[in-house]
Amino acid sequence: MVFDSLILRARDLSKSYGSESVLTNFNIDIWEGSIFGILGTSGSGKTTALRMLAGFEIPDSGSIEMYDNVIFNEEINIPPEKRNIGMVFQDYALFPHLNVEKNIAFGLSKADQNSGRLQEVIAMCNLNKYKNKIPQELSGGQQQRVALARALAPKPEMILLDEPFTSLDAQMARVLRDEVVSLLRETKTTAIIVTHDQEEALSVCDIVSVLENGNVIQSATPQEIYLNPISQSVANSVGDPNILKGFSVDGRVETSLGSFVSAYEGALDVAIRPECIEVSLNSTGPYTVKECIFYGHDQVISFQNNKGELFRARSLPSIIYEPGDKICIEISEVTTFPSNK
Amino acid sequence: MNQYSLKDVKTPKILFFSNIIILFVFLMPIGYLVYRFINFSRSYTSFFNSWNVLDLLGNTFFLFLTVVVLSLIIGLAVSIITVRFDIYRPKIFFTLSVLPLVIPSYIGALTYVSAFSPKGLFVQIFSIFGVSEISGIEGFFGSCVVLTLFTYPYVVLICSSALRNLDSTVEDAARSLGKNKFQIYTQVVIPRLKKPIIFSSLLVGLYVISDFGAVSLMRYSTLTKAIYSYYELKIDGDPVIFYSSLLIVMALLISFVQRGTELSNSSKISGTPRIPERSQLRLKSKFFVYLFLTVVIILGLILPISVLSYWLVRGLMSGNSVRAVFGGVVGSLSTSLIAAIFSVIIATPIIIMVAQYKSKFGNFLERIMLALYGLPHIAVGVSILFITIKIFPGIYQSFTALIVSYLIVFLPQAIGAGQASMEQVKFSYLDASNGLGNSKFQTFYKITLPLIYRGLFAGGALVFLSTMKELPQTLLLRPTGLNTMAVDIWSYASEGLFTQAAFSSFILLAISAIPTYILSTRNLTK
Repeated sequence: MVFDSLILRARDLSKSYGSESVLTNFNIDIWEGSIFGILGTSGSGKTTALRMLAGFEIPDSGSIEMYDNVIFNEEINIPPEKRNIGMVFQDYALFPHLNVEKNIAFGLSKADQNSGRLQEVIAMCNLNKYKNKIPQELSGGQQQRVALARALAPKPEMILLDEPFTSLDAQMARVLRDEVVSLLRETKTTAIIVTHDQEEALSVCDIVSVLENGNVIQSATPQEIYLNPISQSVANSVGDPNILKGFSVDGRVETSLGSFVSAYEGALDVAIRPECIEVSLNSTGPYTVKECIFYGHDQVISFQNNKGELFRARSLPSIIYEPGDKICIEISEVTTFPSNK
Repeated sequence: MNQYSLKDVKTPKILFFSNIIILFVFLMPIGYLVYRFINFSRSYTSFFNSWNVLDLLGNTFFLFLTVVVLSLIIGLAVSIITVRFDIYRPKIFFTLSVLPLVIPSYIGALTYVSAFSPKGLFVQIFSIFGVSEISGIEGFFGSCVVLTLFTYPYVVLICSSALRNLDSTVEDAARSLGKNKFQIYTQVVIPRLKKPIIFSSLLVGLYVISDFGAVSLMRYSTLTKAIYSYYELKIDGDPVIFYSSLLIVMALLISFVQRGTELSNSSKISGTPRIPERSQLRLKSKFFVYLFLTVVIILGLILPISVLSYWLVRGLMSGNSVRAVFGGVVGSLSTSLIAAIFSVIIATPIIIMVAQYKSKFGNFLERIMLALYGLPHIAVGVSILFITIKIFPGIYQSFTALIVSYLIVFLPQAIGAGQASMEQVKFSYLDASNGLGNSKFQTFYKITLPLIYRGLFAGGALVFLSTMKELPQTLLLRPTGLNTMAVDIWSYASEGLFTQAAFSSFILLAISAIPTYILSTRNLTK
């Protein structure tokens, strides 16, 4: 997808509570019409970042611009109600004293409510049946739809979603994720999704920022992040790679699983994703199967070399591996980066 | 919550019969009023014609409405300011603003009447500015001021705790939808506080219609004042019975509506509530906020205390002999202590029955006890008075009759406190104990009682406090020769003997401060 104009630009946002720094020099550029992901574990500062963009929290320093208008810097702080940024909260934050229709109408002016916009949004989000219910009567998925409809109704410039699917069970989360994404695409709404779920970030977003301890460590397309993580922690945050220590001389690095081309010299880490290791049964093979966990769509095989080091490979479920089986491996893709130490 | 109920277990006979007797005693006052009401010798319309019933009803209702509205406004404002705004030492302001709760309305009224009487304290102080006489504070206005000042803390206590538990994410959501800070309060916060608002205003309302001390000292004719006046005239019992019945009907209506708004946290959806940062105030608003809090605290707390101190010091300095208050102190302490002890003894089987034996009778008992909460003391007092005259002359004006009357009004407090602690006693504990070979009584003694005795003690302390401040029942039912501090204060104040009234008030407040402090600092139900 190609995006051509910038809608929001945040520069050097920092925030600390007392001596504890939650976010340092947070920078992002959001393209109009894109879905942007902020991926991080709990405590990485991702929710704080989102709340700053929405205006609920005041950064200690930095600036935020929307369409070249400053909405926050040292002198200016546009309050949240004037930013025209919609927000979907993790626990939905539906108004418990209002029914579904009134929740959705909350941000609309009287004129807009009568112009048909209200009914349009309700129809768009498939909520006609639930109009007169109160939030507590709805399931999690329905509440989520109401929250989204409420945020979309006033046609915000962009919409922020804070862990939108974590309160739902896995299957519901997937269904709703598809619904939400197609709704955002249809209405060409710019969105930022904060999540700790790598699958969610990679499958939904156009661009993903990986946040760790209050720092953005990599911002790129999902493919780039997955295939070329710039550090071990990014590699760890998307997928669960085998990390091998090595030392590179003249562009090649020797590891327990063989020798590979490397982009760096000296001490480095080699990340090999389990799905990049192809396994085959071979009675004279150098590796021994330790354990095999069957997931249905695939299986993860733990195997060890003669030194007892453990590795993981992912394979299709058709062949059965038993502990003690001898195997050969073939590696299709590795990533190297300078060692942490 | 307990996971399952002991539906199949039969209620022990002792428990069942003792509770039947308790229930009978408790329903007696209402039953007697109903009986008298049905058997009036004259027609009901004659009541409306001969006594100014409509005036009294109107006065009572008008006072009810005004005080409820005023308390609500002040109480909500104080709650929002102390919970949500960035003010200096919010906890201190909060505590000072709920403290007027410990001052009984008749003491509050006494201080206002004495301070603002035509040649009173206020005039004496401001005479240097040329103030020579004021018209005094009494009637509707006086009753309103005093009752509002001593009931708004109920609103503060109930609404501020609800406000503290509100998840403010919902308010963030409203802001992201374009509402400003003021709209957040009118469209989100206050609507979400609907239940605590209704609940606390009905509590205030019950207090107002039942109040006897303040309206009497302010000479404002409401039902309670009329009941006592007719009783003193002693012409015949009919009007006293009639007004008491009306009052009870009003009170039952109010508690009925209040039960409908049970306070729960059901509106909270999930997760821990996000606590909002306190809002910063601009200089101008800051000034008004502090001014408001200061005025409220001066009127509700500092003024009454200062006036009492003034009378006390002046009385002592001028050698005006402060008459012996010893009798009142002994009377108050003994009645309160006995009422407290009996309330605990009687509450225990009811609590056990309701919590551990889910029978129809248990549920019925619980409902009745809830409904009886907040019955106007004076009406119960009147009924007990007539029952002792007509049916049990042996205990007419006896200590027993007085204590029974107290218990009928205050027992729900002891039950409430005990029930809260009863939640810790899980059925599995009882099963485990029975399984280990203990009988029901041994189980009660070894398991239930150790877990709930703190709650029972708290309940007893509450009853002790309430009894000590009780006025109208004591006036109606006390045996000849028994004085309490409340009665002393009331009679001195009615005669304009402010020094003596102040002295007794001080002792009453000082003695009740101790259990109040213990109750407020320790969570005795856990």
